[in-house]
Amino acid sequence: MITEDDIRHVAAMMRLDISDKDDYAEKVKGMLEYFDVLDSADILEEDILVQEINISNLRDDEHVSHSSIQCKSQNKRGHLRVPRLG
Amino acid sequence: MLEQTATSLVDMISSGETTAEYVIEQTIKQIEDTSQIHAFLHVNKGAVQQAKEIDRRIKEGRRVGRLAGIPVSIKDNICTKQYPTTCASRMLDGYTPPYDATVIRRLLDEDAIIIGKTNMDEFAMGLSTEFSAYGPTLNPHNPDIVPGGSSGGSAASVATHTSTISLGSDTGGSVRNPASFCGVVGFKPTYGMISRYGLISYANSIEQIGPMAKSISDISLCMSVIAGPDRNDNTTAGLTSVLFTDTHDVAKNPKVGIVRQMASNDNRIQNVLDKAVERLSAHGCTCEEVSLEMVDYSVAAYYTITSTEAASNLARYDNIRYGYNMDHTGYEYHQYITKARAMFGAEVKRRIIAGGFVPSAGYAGRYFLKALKVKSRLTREIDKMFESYDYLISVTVPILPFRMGEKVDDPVSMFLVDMNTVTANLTGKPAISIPYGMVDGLPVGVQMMANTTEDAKLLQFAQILEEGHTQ
Repeated sequence: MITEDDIRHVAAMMRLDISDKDDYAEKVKGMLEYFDVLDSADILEEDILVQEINISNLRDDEHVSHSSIQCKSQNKRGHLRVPRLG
Repeated sequence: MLEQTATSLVDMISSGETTAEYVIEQTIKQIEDTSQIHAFLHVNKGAVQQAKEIDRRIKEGRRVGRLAGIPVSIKDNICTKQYPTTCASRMLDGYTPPYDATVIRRLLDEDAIIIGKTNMDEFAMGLSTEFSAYGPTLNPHNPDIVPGGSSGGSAASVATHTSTISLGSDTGGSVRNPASFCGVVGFKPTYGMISRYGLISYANSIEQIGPMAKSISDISLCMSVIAGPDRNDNTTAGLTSVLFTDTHDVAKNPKVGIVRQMASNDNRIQNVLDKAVERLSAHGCTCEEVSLEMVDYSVAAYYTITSTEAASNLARYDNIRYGYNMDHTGYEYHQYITKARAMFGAEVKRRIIAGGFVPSAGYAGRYFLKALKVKSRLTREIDKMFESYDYLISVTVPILPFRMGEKVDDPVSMFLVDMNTVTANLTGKPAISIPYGMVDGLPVGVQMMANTTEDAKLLQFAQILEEGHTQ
C-alpha cells in the first residue's frame, strides 16, 4: 500500500518542494493506482526487448592527453578549455 | 497567399511570381492578427531581412535551397542558437542554446526562414498546451477549446497560416494529437529517422521530432530535408537515407487493419473513421478489423516509462548545470537546488515524482519492468500484424477536442486521450494523422501506421485519404 508519506519522501529525494499545492500526493497516488492496470496484463513470461546499437557506427573518440589540457593558456583561473559544441 | 502549401510557395518564390520578403511580411502580419491564439513564444524579428537575402540570391541567379523563403515554426524544445529555447518552462526562462539542433541546421541549409518558436506543454508533458508556463494556446477553430498538445502552438500556427510547416516533437502523440485537434497533417516518423540532437530530452527512448503541415506533400518535402543519419545521434546510425519525394512501389491492393482496441465510443467520431475506411475500400484496399491486445495496457506502460525517463532527464535542472538566474547567497547546497526546482510547474513535478517512484527498489518489478514487458509484447504483436497487413488505421484521438480546464486537474483522464497514439511511440513505428472530418465544428483526424522505415510509403499511401477529404 503506497501512502502519501511515501510519495512525499520520494518528492524530497527528487529535490522537489511540493508545499505550493495540497494535492500532489493525492494526484500522484491516483497516477500510480492507474498504473496498477499493468498487473492484469499477461506478460509474466515476456522477454524485454533491448535496443542494440552497433558500436562500429559510433564516431571515434579523440584522445587528448592530460598534459596538453594542462598548458597554461588553456588553464586560466583553474578553468579547462573544451572543444566547442556543434 | 498564406493558405498556399510549401510546395506551391517555393515555386512562386523561385519563379518570381512573389518574393520571400512579401511572404514573410504577410506571415508576420498574420502572427500579429492572430496573437490571441498564442501560438508563439518568440517571433524572429530578423525574418524579413533573411527573406530579402534569399530574394537577392534569386535575382542574381544563384542557387537557393529547397525551402527558400518558407516560414517554418519550431516547437520551443528544439535548440536554436539565434533564439530563446524555454520548453515553455520558467526553469529555462531566458535560455538561448549555444548550438542549433541538427534539424535546424538542415532547414537553414535549405533556406527555410525560422519564423518563431511555438508554445507547448512544459517540457512536452501534456496534451492540451494548458501546461505552458506562459499561458495556453487556443484552438483556432474555437477559442474555448484546447488545441491539443504538447505541440499545440505548432499545430495552431499551421492552422492559422502563421507558418507553412512546423516542427513538433512526438513522445506519445504530441504531434498527431494537436494536428487532429487543429485540422492539419501531423507525422511521427520511425524512431531514428530524424536526429534528436538538439531536442531537449523528455523520454528519449521513444520521442521523435515530427513535422506538421497543410498537406502530405509538404510533410514529404520537409522530411526530405530533415531526415537521415546524423553522427551526433547514434539512434539514427542504422538508417539509410529515404527518398521521401520519390514515388515508391506500394502493394496494389493493400491490406489495412482497423484496430479494434482503438475504436471510439463516440459514434460521430467513429463515423469519420468509417468514411475513411469506405474511401480506402473504394480504392481496392482490403480493410478488416484486427486486434492488438496490449493496446489496453499501452497508456499505463507509456506513462510508467516516460515518467521514469523524465525524472532522470530533468535531474539536470538544478541551476548549477542548467537553469535560470537565481542568487545562491544564503542557501545550503540541497536547499538551493530544491528552491531552484520550484520553478517546475505542477504537471512536471507530478511526473518527476511518479518517475522517481516506479523504478525504485521494491516497486520496479511492480511497475517499470512490467511496463517494459508490455512494450516488448506490443512490439511483437504489431510486428506480427505487419506480416499480414500493410497499414493499420484508427481515429487519431478517440474523443473530440475538449474545453479549456476540463481535464487539467485530472491527470488520469488526460492520460486516456493518448490511447490511440502511444502505440506508435512504444513500438517505434511511423504514424500520420490526416484531417478527415468535422464534428460540432471541430476537426477529427484519422491515424495510419506502417511498419518500421516504411515512412515514405505511408506518406504516399495516405494521400488517398487526403484526396478524399479535400474532394
